[in-house]
Amino acid sequence: MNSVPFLFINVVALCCFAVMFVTFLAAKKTREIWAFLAVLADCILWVGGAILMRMQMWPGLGFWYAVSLVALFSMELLFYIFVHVFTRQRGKFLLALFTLWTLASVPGTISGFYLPPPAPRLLADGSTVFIYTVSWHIIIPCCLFVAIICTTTLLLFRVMREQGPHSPGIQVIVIGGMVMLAGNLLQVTLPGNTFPFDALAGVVFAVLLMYALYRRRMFHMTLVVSRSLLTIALALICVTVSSYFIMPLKTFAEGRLGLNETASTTLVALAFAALLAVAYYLMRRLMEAMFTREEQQNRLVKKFSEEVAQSLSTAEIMEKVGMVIGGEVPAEQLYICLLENGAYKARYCTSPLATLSFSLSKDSPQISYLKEQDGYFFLREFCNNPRYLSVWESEKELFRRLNIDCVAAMRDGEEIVGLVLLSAKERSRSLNAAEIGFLQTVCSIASIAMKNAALYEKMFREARIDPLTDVYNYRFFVEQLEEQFGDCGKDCLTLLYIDADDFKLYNQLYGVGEGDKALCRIGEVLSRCVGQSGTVFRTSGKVFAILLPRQDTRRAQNLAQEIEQRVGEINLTPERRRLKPLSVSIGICSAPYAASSAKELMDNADLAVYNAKQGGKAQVVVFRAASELAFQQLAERTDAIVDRIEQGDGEYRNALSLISALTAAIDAKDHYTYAHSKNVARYAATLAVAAGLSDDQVRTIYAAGLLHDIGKISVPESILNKTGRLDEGEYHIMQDHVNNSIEMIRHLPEVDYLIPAALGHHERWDGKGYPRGIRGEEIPISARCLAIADVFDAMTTDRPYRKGLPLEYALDQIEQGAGSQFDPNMALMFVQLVRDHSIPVAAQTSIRS
Amino acid sequence: MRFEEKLKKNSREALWKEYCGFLDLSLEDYMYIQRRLMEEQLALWANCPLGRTLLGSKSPRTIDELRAQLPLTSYADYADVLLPKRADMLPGEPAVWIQTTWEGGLRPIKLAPYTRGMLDTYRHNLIAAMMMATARKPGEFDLKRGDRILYGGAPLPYATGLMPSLFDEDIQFTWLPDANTHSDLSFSQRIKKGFAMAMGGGVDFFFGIGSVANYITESFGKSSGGHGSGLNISPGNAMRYARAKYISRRDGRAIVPGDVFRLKAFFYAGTDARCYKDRLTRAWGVAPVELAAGTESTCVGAEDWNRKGMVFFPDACFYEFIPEDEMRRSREDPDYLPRTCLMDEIRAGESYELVLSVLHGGAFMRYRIGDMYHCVSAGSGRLPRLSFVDRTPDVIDIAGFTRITAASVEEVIRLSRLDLGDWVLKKEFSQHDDPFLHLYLEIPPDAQAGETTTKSVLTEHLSLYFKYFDSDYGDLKKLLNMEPLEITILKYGTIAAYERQRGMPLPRINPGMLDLMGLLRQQEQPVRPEGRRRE
Repeated sequence: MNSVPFLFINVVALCCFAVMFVTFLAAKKTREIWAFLAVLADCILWVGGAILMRMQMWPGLGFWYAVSLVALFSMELLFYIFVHVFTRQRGKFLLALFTLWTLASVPGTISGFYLPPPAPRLLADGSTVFIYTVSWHIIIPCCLFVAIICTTTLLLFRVMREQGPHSPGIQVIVIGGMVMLAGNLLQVTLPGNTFPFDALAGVVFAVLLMYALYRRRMFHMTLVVSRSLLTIALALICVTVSSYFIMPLKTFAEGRLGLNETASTTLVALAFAALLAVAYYLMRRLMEAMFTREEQQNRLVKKFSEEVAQSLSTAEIMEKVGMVIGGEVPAEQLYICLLENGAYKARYCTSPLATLSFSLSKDSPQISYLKEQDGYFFLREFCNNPRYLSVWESEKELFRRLNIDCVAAMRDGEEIVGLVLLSAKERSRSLNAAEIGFLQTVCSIASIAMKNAALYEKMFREARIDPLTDVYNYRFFVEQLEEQFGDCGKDCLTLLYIDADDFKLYNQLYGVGEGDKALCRIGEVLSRCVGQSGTVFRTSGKVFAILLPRQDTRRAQNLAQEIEQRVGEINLTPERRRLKPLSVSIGICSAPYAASSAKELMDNADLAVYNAKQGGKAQVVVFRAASELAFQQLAERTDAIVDRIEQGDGEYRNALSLISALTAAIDAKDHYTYAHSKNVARYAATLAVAAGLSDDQVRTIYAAGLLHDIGKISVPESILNKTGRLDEGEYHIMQDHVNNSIEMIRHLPEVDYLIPAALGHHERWDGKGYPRGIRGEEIPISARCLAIADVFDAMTTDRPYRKGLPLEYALDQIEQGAGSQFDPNMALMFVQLVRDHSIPVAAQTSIRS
Repeated sequence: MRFEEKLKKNSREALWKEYCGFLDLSLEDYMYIQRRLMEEQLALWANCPLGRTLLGSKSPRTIDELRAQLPLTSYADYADVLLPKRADMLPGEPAVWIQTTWEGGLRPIKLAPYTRGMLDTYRHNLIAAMMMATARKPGEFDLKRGDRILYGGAPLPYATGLMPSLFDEDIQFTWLPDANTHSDLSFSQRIKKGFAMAMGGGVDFFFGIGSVANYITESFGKSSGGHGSGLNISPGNAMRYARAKYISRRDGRAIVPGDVFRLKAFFYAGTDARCYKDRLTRAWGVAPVELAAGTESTCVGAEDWNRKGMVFFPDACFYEFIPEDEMRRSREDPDYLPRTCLMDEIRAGESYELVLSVLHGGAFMRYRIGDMYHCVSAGSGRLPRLSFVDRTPDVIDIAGFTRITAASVEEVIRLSRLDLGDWVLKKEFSQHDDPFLHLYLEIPPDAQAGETTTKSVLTEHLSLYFKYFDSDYGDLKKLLNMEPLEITILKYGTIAAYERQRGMPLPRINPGMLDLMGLLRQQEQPVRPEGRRRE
């Protein structure tokens, strides 16, 4: 026999050992890995020595023979050490004994006492065979081998009995040992054998030991084997195997099948191609199992990481966690629980129909066990822990019901901030190392993203939630009003203002604490009534607002009536029997029917709630836009509207007496101001009617006109009747009349709704007015009407320091002030109406014109 | 997964950790389990109608509050709910109701509900007890499917009858005899049948209350000559039996079970079991393992391979212990609320009355079960070891069969219509360590001449009525061949004189040994005939 198979197999085996040794050098060193490295190093010396001996390389056959034999004789001991370490045995006596025995036998091995070096003999065909001479001395090391092999077998038997045959890796080690033993026995017992069964068995042995370590999760396959390395190794194996079959197959085809040269070559080529195809398929499967899955997982992790980094919503992140884990890890359902107030509360499940009403206490044994583990645990492993005894029946039942078999932690530093619960899909299959690694990675990324998102959501919430009533605050109301007004476009948006009646009195009677409780109850009622159909806000002390997108006035009215009823029910509770009954006044306005801007919607709803207050409280008032004027004279229409005030009808009964008293007071103090106020009221009301404002708005403007200069009661008559120019101090006193007016009105609940109009009548469209310097549409429309009327009447009537100006001059002035001092539309409309005589000017003015 | 599947699939190390891992717990971890499970139980119990009834207006939120607010309970507190089986009033839905006798109670029996959680824990702990008993060292247990168990327990509805059904849920054992197929047999017939089966195929475990186990063991020697010939036994067992015969003849003694059987473990429980320990060890060749179990409590403790006292399972019940002096004080003064210790507060060398709260939805809370335990070892952060002493002194239990209270003695004397004077009853032990009742009795002067008052007549007469009053008393004779009553007649007026001297009343049941000696000494003093005649 030639030495080609021997060399070939041995070289391949040597390469395998060398590759495994080098790659495992890079792995994280544990006692088991060190033991395995020792076995591999021994294999390298054994096979390498044998090759070099065969090739009779320098320094000579004897040297390499000694190297190879010492390595071979040490193999049993190193395998015993590996098993000893792998099974975590404690006793060291046998280990020390066998080590000493093996060391003691080394001199005999080197000297050739046990087995002398073989004698090379050159054959006729040029090849060399090695002739061994066996003496009885070989029995001495054989006794050592038998002792070590028996001890190893007993150890493995004991471990299998103690830990069970299913203990990870044990069976593989047993098979590896048997393969190695069989290979060596075949090598020495088959007569005339030159095939290196021992080297081949050595490779299988090393691979099986490596697999045993893998089963114990002592290393990651991809850490020690790269795709290219595996490709090279597999290609090498393919080439070796193929080269063994090409020549015999060709000989077989030509000799046995009687094919000619061409046909036999074709057959060999086809067979080779088929072999390569099978090898390619197997290689692909192997690659996929080892690398493709991990690469895919890496891609998913990268994508997931990018997506969650951009999200500031915990719900969105949880959904992505569910999707990414569900796609890679076999699980029936996935639940995410987040730490809130000392408990992990269920917040997400991959099934939309799953119940999320469960929680797990932070002090539960599952959590303390999880903290001790490496970020996850399997329930069946936890059941083996004595800590499991302290699990509550309810917790056991929960895990049984949800079929949870794996729990992974989302950590923030040392603290577990969330849990990912996986319900078992395939009971028989446990998660493999790659899936566990993927799960841990996703949980780590998610926990950071969730932390940021939760922080953001907390701040977002705190910035928008009213801490007392737990409904949204005014700031968010303003944002939402603008946003929803834009979103609704031509669709309907309804705003309700809910004002608690007599709340100031309530606070005075029972204190602020009780008042706060009442507000909380009202807030709860509103939230319950509105549900998901709208948003509830607390816009000021006792006023709530509700935004109902895409809901019309009728629905809002139904809702308002329900709210009235539910608020009334609050009073029925036993603890509230002795308290003043709570009630609310509600104003409703819908865009685009009764408002063309968010601001207008707000103002109109405000007006409606004031009217509800005026109308006796505890009622619902819907703001209605102005009716058609086409067929009615402007002046007549205005008269008809304002007459209700003049006659004190309905809700204006109380207001009338106040207005009359105040106007009488101003009349007594300063008759000019009294006449001026009446003119302004009339002009402004007519302008408002012409501008298409509602009847309620017209009446408000009229009443505000009557009282807009009421503050002048506090201005000394010397200033009021001064004929010369006012000095700076006097001018300031005069300017203060606006604030004085407000101070007076503010304490009169029946007329406090007039404040916006009275307060703003000296504001300018360009923002240069007083007292607040607001501009444009920020100025209430009622105030804008009053401003024009006030200036027009002031110019056209006689004043102590000058005569009244001509009508046309006054109109020109107003035209010039349009867009700077006055609302341009209103100003031009007013001028037009005066010129058309649609607005009747006061008697004094008409005479002058 | 059933235990027998775990035996195939899991390593022994993992199984040991799962079932017996609590043995390695520190006392702190042990108490964590106790407290946590008790928190769950408290929440369930305090919110159920039974709990609300017993708590009244109190609403304890923590274990300490509960201990401060709820007085210790007895079965009378639960009788109105448990005897009519009012499941709707309980903290957990009962899966099964277990029965036992109610010594000195208002009714003949007591009923105890078992929830599914309790049954699971019971089963888990029984398997743990078997593993502990068969182990020679931690982790090396010897338990397998098909092990043969000679079973000397009463059938359902008694607590011992649950064991076969519970084990069947987890692992298939061969029961000698099978409780289901031999349910029609009487208790003694079942024992005999079980033994006959054991003779046929061997036995691995023996479960029984101490007195019964002793009786069987003694009967074995006496009747063994006739058993072998009538049984259809395998050649192997015949060989074993022949070998046993040879050994017994060689040693010149009767054949003992240990000559025939090689038990993996021998479990015994019940009152006076300790008396039989040495005898049983000699007879079976293995030291019996003590189990602590009860109808209300399930299996609460077991000995391990060291046989140096029982370790209580942390998940069966929440344990409290009344120190002996506190217990005696509370027995003398029913209004006194005795102090209790927890497992981490008991001390070695002291005896305690056990108070338990059944976990996993059980009905009993701070329940005085009436058992006394001696703390064998404790301290250094290790789990305490306890051994069963006896029932509480106000109840006399003979061999786990009959329970006699002062009320039942009064009733027996009343039924007997004998004109008897004052008495005290004490449980004593014979030279052979057999327990018996010792009645110290006074005969009024006028009755001394008028009636036949020899000891033997009185003993016969009273025994008759004891049997009538308590059927279990009759079983002592029938099953165990015991004559439990012995009478000592005291001079009339001795007890009253001693009480005067003592300055306080003498307990009629189980007075202390010093009191008894004082009584006998008192008898030697000349006294005026001022004894108490029974009404």
